[in-house]
Amino acid sequence: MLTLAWTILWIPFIAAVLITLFLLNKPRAAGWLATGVLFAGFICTLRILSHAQFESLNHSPLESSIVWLSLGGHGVIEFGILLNGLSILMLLIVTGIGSLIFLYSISYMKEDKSAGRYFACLSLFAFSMLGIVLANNLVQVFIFWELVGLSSYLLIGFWYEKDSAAMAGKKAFLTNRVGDIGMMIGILLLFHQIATNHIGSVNFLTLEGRLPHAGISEGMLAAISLLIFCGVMGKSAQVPLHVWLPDAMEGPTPVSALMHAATMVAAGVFLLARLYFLFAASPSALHIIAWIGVVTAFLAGTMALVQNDIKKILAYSTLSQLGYMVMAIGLADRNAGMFHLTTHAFFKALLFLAAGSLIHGMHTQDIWEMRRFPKTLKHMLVTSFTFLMGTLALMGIPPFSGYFSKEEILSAATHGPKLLLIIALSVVFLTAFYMGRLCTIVFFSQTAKEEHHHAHESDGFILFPLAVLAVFSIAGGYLPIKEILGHSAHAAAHHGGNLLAIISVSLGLIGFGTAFLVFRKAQGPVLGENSFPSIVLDHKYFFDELYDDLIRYGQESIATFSDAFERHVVVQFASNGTASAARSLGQLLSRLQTGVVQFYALVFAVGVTVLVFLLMLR
Amino acid sequence: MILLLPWIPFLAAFLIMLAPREKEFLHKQIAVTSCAVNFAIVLWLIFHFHPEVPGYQFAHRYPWIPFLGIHYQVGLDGINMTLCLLHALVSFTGAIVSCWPKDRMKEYLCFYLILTGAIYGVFTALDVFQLYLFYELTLIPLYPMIVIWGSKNKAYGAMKLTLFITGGAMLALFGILILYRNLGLQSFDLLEMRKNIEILPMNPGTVHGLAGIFLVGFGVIASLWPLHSWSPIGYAAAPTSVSMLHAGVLKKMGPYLMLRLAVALLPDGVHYWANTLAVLSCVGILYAGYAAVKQQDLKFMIGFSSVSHMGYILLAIAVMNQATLSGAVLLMFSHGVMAATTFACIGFIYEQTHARGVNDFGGLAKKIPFISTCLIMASFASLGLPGFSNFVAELLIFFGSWSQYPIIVSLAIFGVFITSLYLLRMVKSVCYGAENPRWSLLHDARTIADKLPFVILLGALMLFGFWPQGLLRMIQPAVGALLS
Amino acid sequence: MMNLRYLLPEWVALGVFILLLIAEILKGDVKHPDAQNIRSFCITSLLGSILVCISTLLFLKKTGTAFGDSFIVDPLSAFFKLFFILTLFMMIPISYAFFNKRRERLETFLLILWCTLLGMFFLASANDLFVLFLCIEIITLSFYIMAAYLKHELPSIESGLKYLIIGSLASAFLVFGIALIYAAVGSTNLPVLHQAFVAHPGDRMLVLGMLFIIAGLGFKIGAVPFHLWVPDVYEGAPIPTVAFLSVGSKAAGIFVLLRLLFQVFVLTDSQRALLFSTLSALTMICGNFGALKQTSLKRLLGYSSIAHAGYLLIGFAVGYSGGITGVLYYLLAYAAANLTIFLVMAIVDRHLQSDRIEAYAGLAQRSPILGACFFIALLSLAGVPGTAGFFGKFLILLAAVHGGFLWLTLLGLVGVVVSLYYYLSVVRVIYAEEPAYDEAIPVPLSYRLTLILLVGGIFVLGLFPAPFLLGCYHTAFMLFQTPLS
Repeated sequence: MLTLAWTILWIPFIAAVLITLFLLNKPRAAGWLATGVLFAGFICTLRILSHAQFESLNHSPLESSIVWLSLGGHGVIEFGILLNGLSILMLLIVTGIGSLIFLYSISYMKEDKSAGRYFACLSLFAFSMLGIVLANNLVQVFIFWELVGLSSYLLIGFWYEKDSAAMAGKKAFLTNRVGDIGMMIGILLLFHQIATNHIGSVNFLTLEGRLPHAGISEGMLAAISLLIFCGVMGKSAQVPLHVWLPDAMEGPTPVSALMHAATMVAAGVFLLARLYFLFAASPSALHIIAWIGVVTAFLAGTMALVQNDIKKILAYSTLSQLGYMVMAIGLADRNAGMFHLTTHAFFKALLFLAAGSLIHGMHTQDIWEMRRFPKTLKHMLVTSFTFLMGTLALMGIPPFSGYFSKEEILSAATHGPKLLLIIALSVVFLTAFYMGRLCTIVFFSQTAKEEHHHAHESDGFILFPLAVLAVFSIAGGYLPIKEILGHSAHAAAHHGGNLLAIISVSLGLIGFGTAFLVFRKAQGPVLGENSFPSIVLDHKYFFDELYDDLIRYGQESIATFSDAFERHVVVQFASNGTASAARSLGQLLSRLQTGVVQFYALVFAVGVTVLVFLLMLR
Repeated sequence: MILLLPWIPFLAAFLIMLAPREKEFLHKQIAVTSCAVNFAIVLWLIFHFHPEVPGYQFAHRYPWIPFLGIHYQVGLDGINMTLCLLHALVSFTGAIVSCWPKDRMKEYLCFYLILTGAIYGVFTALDVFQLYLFYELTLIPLYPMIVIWGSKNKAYGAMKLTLFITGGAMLALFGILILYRNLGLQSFDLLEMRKNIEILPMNPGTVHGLAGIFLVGFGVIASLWPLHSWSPIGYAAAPTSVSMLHAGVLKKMGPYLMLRLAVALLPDGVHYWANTLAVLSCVGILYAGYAAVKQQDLKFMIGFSSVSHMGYILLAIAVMNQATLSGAVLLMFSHGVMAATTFACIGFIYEQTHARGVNDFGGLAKKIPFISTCLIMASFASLGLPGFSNFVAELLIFFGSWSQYPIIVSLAIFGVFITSLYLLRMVKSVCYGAENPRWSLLHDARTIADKLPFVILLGALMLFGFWPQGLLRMIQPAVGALLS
Repeated sequence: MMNLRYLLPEWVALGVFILLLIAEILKGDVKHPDAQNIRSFCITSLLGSILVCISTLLFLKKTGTAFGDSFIVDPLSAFFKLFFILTLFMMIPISYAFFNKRRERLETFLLILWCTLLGMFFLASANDLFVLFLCIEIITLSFYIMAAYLKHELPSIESGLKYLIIGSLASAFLVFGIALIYAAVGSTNLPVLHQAFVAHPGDRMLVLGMLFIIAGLGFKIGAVPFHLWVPDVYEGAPIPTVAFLSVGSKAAGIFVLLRLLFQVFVLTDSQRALLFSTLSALTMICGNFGALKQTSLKRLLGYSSIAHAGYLLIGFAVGYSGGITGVLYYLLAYAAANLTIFLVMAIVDRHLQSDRIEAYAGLAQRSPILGACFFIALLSLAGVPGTAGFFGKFLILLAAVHGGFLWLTLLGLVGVVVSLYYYLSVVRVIYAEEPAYDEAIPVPLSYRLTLILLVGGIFVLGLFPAPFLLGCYHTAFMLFQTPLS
């Protein structure tokens, strides 16, 4: 079983290396190699799934590791594999959805001649994502954490000729790096605590075993968990560090589907689940996490209302769903969070791929241009149909998987503070509203169709993944997630089941209905340009402007100061100063050489008298 | 075998001097083969190096000036084995790079080989006088190389670099003389000095003073904060292979000599200065990082970035425990290789475009994919991305020094963020973005000779990034012996 | 009593001198000197100097007195005789290179050189204060003539005149000192003087006399208060004279100071330390910092010779055998480097017609061997490792640290950095600047051999110093061991 896990981890890396060395200018071969490799990984995961007894696995997970780095007396850092229910679930998501998206992108990137490099980066991403999922200690997670950041940088900035893509890549990497600073300091703090209480190593099993009675103070635990949560905020784009995700849409759509919907952003939530014992040990940290989650959900929901780019709307909806997952874990219900993560992976990947197919067909990303194509429902039947099913799943309409996972989270929210529950429910309405707005404008709008020719349907390679994902987004709710994850220690009994379900479903339907009515006839954005909400929402609550000013006045000013200090004080004053002082002393001395012999004789005589005085009379 | 290391380049330089002037290809062949032979010798030495054996291996000792107790003594332990490997790598690739077309190639190769031989001398020497002799000998070929073949304000840069480092070397010589007198041992042998100090330690006042002198003396070439201003100007003025060799290897002699003389002989002296050194290194990291953000010239930016990276090494020396010192040696190795690669890339572009401004380029990834990938990989190695040995070294240093200086380490981690800020900005404006029509006729590294240096350097970085034990199994026992 | 066999080297030197004199009178033709004649003249003087050198080597280990002990042979005198004859051996090619195609006669110049050599030999073995003064005057007088040798060029005459005036002032102080001491002691024999000094060290007359003698010698070495003549004379005088002045005359001054200070005068350690450390500090500062702004190469070498005098004086301030070994070794290193530079300058002088540093632009391109030798000699003067200069400075500074003169050592080290500045600026001019006209400078085989000999000397003294170090230590050790009783 463990050898299978090792192969799953390493074959994408080997594929990436092979592609970079040999297949860079043979895109089709590179595409099929990458997809084949990931699909093989998916088959191996199914084999692991088939003969893994989840009961025993969750209590005594399988682990195999080698010593990667000895810290000389401080402890040892290992490099290994940890297999338990959680990692197998994530394996399923990453390899399953991953291979579908790889398949999809073979035809999506058909005419792009640098597709070889694209597939190399995708395999590198798969390798690093699998690294996070299978890692058995915190440092190894951090290593793959940064590698995922690197692959997202390469993939967002894939079309680097476009300045905006290059800027977006840089922005994503730097924001992740800000989060990583916090995480690194958290790891160091944890390691210091471990070293003093000689727990010995950072891997999860020993930590989980020894942490409770290691006697680390509650405040320190809260500090450590919040610092590690910084890393999660960076990666899963929670509020203060969320600015990079909407710009990340510059990358190709399959990248947005794979990374910025299904897997990469979920890495943060996965880490929360993996380190759940640490977070659970400090309730105050959990409380803050919950609030950050719900605030992200709400803000992202409102921002999605005014977006005109289809991928941006989906990006903000991912942000708000991530807020939901973080809130769920913040409310001490790990399984609800992971359940929603799984279902969200399915329908959000479906939405992105369908949107990609729409963009491919209509050659535009702006929903108002899409509106002008006549009878898209008929001409792009499969894409539109799967898109609508994805939307329904996202809104949480009963038969679809979204309903079950959202119910879990909402019932978990009932235990939290009342205001939290109200905001969570309002987000349900917001989600339904902006998805409704999108669907009505693109599919159901009755305004005149200026576009004479109609959009053409994409080919088989694109439609097959859509169909598979549509099936999963329907059946996702019934997957035995609970058994795989194993009951978390204190899964709260869910009561008030159906009352909450009725409220949330009705809220969803009302949201979709109002959006349908408002936008059925609309030609352009409904809200006035300068009305207060549209200004605030258009500027995305001024986060970008805030950060730009922060950098311009904070960073740049320090940089100009140090550069000026360097140029004037250190170079001009210190080194040139001493040099010119030496030269002026030389000048003074050479003035003594008057060339007049009598003067020399005088100095000679004075010198002798001074000598005599020095020795004789003193 | 180890004795040959410094003398093969000197012999090659002599041969080139004799060879007729117009046979330029012959000169290049002699230079590259001599560096290749040294590279092979170092690999052979590594292969035959047993890390578990304590003390110095391949040791030889010949009387040189018995009157003063000076011996020509050579030997390798884990630390200088790693640094010899670093120097073998950088000098071999530097030799290939210095074969790029330039005028008066014959003199250039002579000076280059003398510089290489002198550095091998430093890394293999075990006698303090011999160590110091080779250390100052490296200064001599540097000056004419920068003055004749340099680029922007080369006279000022060369003079400033030489005077700063000579000033530091003089201070170190002052320390060595006092050490020699106080020990009263009539011998310059490092091992005997070590044993003697353990038996009858000197009075604390001299120990603190001496440690201060050594730290400042060697701090100049290690670009300790207030004494760093020669490094960016020197590198901007130097030709490509000189700045490769200087940023890659010469800068690492400062911390190496600090380890050999200050940490090994005067540990409590270094403890005494630890706080000031840590604060200065932290200021160096942030200050140089921010200064690099504002630079318009690529070589200046890389010069400041190497000053900032040396800050980590000095921080590690200040903390002085097993983990940080092995991290420091690993960072010396990886930063050396990384700086050499970056300068090689910038040099490659500069050879053809004679432009070095950060905003002069754009969209080079399209025109010269190989070189820009190497530049991007080197920049990512520099900002501490896992998969390169820089990250492992920085990890070791942070883990080791967190208990003693938590605030400084957090600021250092913030320093890593600043590095990623200006490096990514550089990558974006040089490699990405719209294609700059000015450089339409730029050609990429086509032949093997062009590609080989980059492949070797980046290969070494990634090899020890994935398998750090390869170097650490040599470094850690040596550092343990140093500290015990 | 008369045991003339100790005087063998002097006899041989005198013989060669007379031979050359006769050859000059018989064959010398002032109107149109033929090259063949000059070459044979030089070869005979070269052979003569080798003969003298061998004869001095015979007496290396012996000690003894002659002429009623006013002539002494001891390791110190043997060391310096060897030093003087080797310098002369190197002076011949320098003067030959300088005087070809010049109006002035080379033969008479060589004769004066031999005359100075005789003066130096007798100085080395002088055991009597009066004989000492006599030899010093012979040397100084012949330097007047050599300085003003180029009759038709104004700067040479000006430098000769200046040297004459200041030189005679120094001799006046010297004589005044000797007179005072003679008045106090009644004899001029050095051992007798030594007893007198030991008997009553604090005596005013003796100390005053001693100080005046030291002042007179200070002129010869170029120590600070007495150094002002050095730059002007070095700039004006012809290159061979400057070479011999900077090496021979300075070494003679150092010798007399060694002989008197450590074998005759009795100075408490603290007094000597105070006197010489102030002298050396001032000399180093003036020499190094003065040289920063120089544009003429000979004037720069003048200041650099002052700076090197400063380093030599550190050895005197330290005093014990380590310090003196340093002084002797430093002298060897200094001589080797200076002679190389002056040989290169003499060879190049005909092609450049000016001694400004800019005129030397691109020398390395016009003739790589001259450029390389010039570069190595400058490095040795700067004290860069691998060359003789470094080991000389290392020994002196090591002795200074042992003697406890920490701030003096620091000043010396700062001096090295400053000297590196002006030496490397010359290197930059030679290597990096474009030459005014590009035709190569021919370097005939004889000069190449001498250059290789000198540069080889620099490297051997720098890298394999053990045998020479033992020689110097032996001389220094004997200096303290055998008072001249």
